[in-house]
Amino acid sequence: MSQIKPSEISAILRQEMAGFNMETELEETGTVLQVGDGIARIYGLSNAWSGEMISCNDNGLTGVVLNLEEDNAGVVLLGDSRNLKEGDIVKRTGRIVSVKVGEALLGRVVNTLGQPIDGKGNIEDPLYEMPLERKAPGVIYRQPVNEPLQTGIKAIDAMIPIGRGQRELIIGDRQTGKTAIAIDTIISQRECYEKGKPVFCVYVAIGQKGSTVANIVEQLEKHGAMPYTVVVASSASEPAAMQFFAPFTGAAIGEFFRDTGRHALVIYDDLSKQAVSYREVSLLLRRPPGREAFPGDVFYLHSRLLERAAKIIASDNIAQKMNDVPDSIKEMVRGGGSLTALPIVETQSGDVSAYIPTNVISITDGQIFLETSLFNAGVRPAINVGISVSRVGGNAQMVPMKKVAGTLKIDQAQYRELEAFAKFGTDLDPETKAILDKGARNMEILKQGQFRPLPAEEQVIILYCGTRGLLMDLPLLKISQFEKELVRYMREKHPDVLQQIKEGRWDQQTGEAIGEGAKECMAAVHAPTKEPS
Amino acid sequence: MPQNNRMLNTRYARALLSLAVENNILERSYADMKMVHEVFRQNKELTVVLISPVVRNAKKQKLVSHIFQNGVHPLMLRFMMIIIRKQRGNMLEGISGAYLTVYKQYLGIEQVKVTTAVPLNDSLRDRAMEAARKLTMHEIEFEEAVDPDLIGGFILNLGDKQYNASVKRRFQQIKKHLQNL
Repeated sequence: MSQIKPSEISAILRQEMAGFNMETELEETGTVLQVGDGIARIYGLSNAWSGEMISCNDNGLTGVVLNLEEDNAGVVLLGDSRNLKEGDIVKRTGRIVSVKVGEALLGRVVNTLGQPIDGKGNIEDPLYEMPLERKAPGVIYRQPVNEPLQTGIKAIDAMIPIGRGQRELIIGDRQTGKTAIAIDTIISQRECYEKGKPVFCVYVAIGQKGSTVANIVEQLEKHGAMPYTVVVASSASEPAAMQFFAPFTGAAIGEFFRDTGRHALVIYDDLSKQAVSYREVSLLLRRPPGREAFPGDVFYLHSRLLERAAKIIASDNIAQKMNDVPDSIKEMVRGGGSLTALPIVETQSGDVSAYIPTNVISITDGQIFLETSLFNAGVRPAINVGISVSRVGGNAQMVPMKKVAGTLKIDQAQYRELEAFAKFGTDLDPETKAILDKGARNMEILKQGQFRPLPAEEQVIILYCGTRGLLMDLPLLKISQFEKELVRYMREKHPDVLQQIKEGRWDQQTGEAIGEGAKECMAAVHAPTKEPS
Repeated sequence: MPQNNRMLNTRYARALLSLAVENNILERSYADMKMVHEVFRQNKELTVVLISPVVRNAKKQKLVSHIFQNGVHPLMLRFMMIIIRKQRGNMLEGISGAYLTVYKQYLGIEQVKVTTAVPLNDSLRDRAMEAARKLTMHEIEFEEAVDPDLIGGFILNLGDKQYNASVKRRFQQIKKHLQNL
């Protein structure tokens, strides 16, 4: 280490101090009337706005004005309220709640205020200030969803396709694999990232255990997904206000990418916990409770959040005129970006008619429904195809997938119906039996392990075999082996076909090539395994 | 429910003020209420008695009129009797406090508080008052406080506005500035 001279330090200090603004301004202040449960009542602050940040003391404790009443303001504290006492003076900041967002956030874990909590040091410049609460883009700045977002999960990409800019709800009981679907989707974006057309991912963990979040980050790291992912974590021990603002932080980060013409995916895990935090804050602020004691604006809470997921119009000129663009990124706005949202909602014993699930179902463009019974029967991902829908993703599905899996959903629905029926009967006519056999094989195909997202072209070839009935002679137990074999075979012998499917082209020859491959692999699978010599 | 009480206090105080204006006893009412406020502030037991459900209203009224009948205007006394009859005797301290604020608002008097590290001398006080009068364009009521923690400089409070020119704050700003380098 080189010797540091005190004179040099003072020279640097002096230089830094030269630009220091010593001016004092008139500040607007208020007095704390009462503090408790993360809420402070403030007297004064007569000009404060709703949603404005309040600086509570010199330790950096901040609050947000949520209630403006006749003689006081209700402020939620974003931090430890033990530092604030009755009679303390608080100050207006003149800013609404915002986070600093930039490329340097990628690969990091941050809290609701955008501060790093992964111990990897400060987040580097350039950072742009993005407000947490921001109006969604208006109608003229949007465009219909037309690009697919590959989740890498066969059952979803084939039957419930998701488009970029869509909002697709993942709903189900606890322990049905909701988070697994979300994480697989993030991992599946690695291909786009490596090709240089990344879909930036934001994973928002709300009210989860710290260990769960650490686990997820570790898995993402292990599968090489962190370089294009930001994790926003607000664990169960944080104040309720921090938890209910966390999705808005995620949305603000996603919007940064969306508005600069890039693609982003944001996962809110999960909104039922966020609603519970919001209920807590609302009740403490003495807002009147409604159904299930949620406040009246819990629908608006979720609708305004999810409305910010959007596909932005391709034209740069129009996009630059977009409403409510923060000043910090005004120069950088580009068209063609998108923000896809995958909110997660947890149900209690499959009750979708509870308040929050019905709300979010009606807000989103479709839902992926996960069921405990399927999960326990070994169908993983445990997607109930019959009641899962995607209202806009169909337009965005790639052509080969549409060709191959067009009827899969209806076929599977029919199979499920017959399956229940066939449990009673003994004699079945050949037609019914054929449907049952094919359905059972397709079910087998749609099973998929965790952390193993498949590229779209490989999904197409295996689904082709299933929907065309090429697997009728194959025992159910051998299907996964066949799948591996087929993928390996096609990669080796027909990379051109895979490439063609990837580019979205499909013709007669493609199908024939796959059929040929299937025949070859069938033989290989049927053959007795060779002893290693 | 301190915030609700606050609203109630102000309501009662406003009602009393308009009555005082009607009867032309504005000055007297202010002095009376100031005295009432002081009495309640210094004798917390009084509030305890007035809140007690065991003591009858008539007894409470008798007690209060005993204390105040020579000191305050009959109108004020009647007002206090009504409050006690309505089972809100315990709020008299708050109401009288609110009255002082409402009175100042009515006359457009701004409360100015200057906090300094060392006590003000006369010439400084005059200058501060002059500056405050210019800033507010109102009559002012001047209040002084000494807080050695400030190190130097002063803090000026005008209603819910604050002009903080203390050395302590400067140091904090410098600290923040250096931390963000």
